[in-house]
Amino acid sequence: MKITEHHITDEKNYLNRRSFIKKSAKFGAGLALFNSASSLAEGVEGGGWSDKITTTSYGKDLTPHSFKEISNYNNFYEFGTGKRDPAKNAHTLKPNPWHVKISGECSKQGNYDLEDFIAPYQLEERIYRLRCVEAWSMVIPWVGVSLAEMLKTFQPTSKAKYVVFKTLLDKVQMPGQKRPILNWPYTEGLTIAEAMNPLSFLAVGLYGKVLPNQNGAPMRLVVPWKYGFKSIKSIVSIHFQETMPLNTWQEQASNEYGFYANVNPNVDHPRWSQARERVIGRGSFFKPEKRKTEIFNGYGDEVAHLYAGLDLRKNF
Amino acid sequence: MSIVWQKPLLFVLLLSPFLALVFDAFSGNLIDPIEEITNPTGQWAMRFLLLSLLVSPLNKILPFSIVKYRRMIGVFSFFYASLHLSIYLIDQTFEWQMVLEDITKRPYVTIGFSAFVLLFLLTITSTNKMMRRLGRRWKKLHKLIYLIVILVMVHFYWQAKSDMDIEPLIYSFIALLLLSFRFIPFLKKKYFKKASA
Repeated sequence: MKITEHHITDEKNYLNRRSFIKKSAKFGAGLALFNSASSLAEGVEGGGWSDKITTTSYGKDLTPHSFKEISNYNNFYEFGTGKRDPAKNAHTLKPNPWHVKISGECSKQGNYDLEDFIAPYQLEERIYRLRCVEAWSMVIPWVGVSLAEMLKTFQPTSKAKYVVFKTLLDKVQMPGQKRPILNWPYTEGLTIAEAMNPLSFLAVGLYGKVLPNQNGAPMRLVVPWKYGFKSIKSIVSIHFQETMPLNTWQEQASNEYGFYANVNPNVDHPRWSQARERVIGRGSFFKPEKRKTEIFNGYGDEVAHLYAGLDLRKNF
Repeated sequence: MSIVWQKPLLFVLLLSPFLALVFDAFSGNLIDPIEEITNPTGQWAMRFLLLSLLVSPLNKILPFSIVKYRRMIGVFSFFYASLHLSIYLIDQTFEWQMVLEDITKRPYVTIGFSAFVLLFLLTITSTNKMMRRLGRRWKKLHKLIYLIVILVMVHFYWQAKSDMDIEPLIYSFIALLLLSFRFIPFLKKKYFKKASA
């Protein structure tokens, strides 16, 4: 079944429903998300996910952006460089079936079906702020699993200092890859400590539904204290390694994008200030809402210790 | 078609991207008006700038004169450039300190702003009265358009996030072609003069 416009939960109902989810989660905890191959795309509404997702305290005070905003304003160059392009073009992506390859410094390497990959873990809803390196921001209610929980399963060895993620490489499914705009496939990396931080998240849905293709279906990374480009989409490979990887944007312009890419109002992008961010769709036409950008996007309590003693100006 | 209607028709054509943007803005189609108006207005300013440069080479091969339309195209380029700059100022919430910092610290803003100032200069000197007043100097002054085109291309190229972004490459190619129509004959003439001297 395809997800069409009428399946999209009205945000008001959605927000009301969250309290319902909270209650039912007590009973639904531990239930697997994907019982069969087709369940990923089917039964998204109603009896599909709602009783399998636990709400969390992450972002409980934030007001999420609308589904329309979240799913129509995307940077996903595999489907075009305009913000509207992914929503227009991402229908060519086939997120089901989907396989993820686990490789490198770990004891449980292999090729996994996405269903099997996600099934053992508790689905959580987390509302995170997303700060794009282009100085705009949104609030997104993700559904997914803890990255740390997931990675532990593969038993990384002591040599696993970094985790490297790769997006699908397929010119048919991702027509933007026909042009060498970036060095495809899109690659991102985290230190093992970053990946094991409780905030790190693998999202498979938003607003209680499976991820729209343009948001990185079927599975994407979400690391909310870093600029959005670190949160790699449509992941097909997770690799553990000893050396620091070069991520795609760093390779593209190392003077503008570093490995860490932590949100930091004090370190400007060479071409624009990072001191403030435009909150998408808020405020009026002549007075768009601006928010002071916070260090680590406001998640300093959870992650600042990861960078103790590191010169954030050099390691941007 | 009567000749009387040609200029108003051109006016409406040049204004239509603006009308489309106004429609989009009021219909609630825009998710982020700042970005979704900044980019198109900048692009239309650039397209009309290039179109104004196309007038004179095209005039040479057409059986009728189109030079009389050039001014309107150029003024419209300035109109869209003004909108482009205004949206940027709105995005900066008119905090002049930040604007000044951008202009002085960030090369692509510096370049874009310089192009705007020069284009403004050409726009205010585009009236018949100013043409008469400036006489021979007018033509010299308006040769700045070639510099403006180069600045605009650099601005466009520098704001792009990838060197392989196709649009700046396409527009730069067109700009190069239009500039070469001027400079190749100019260089030939210069070379020829030297050779015969």
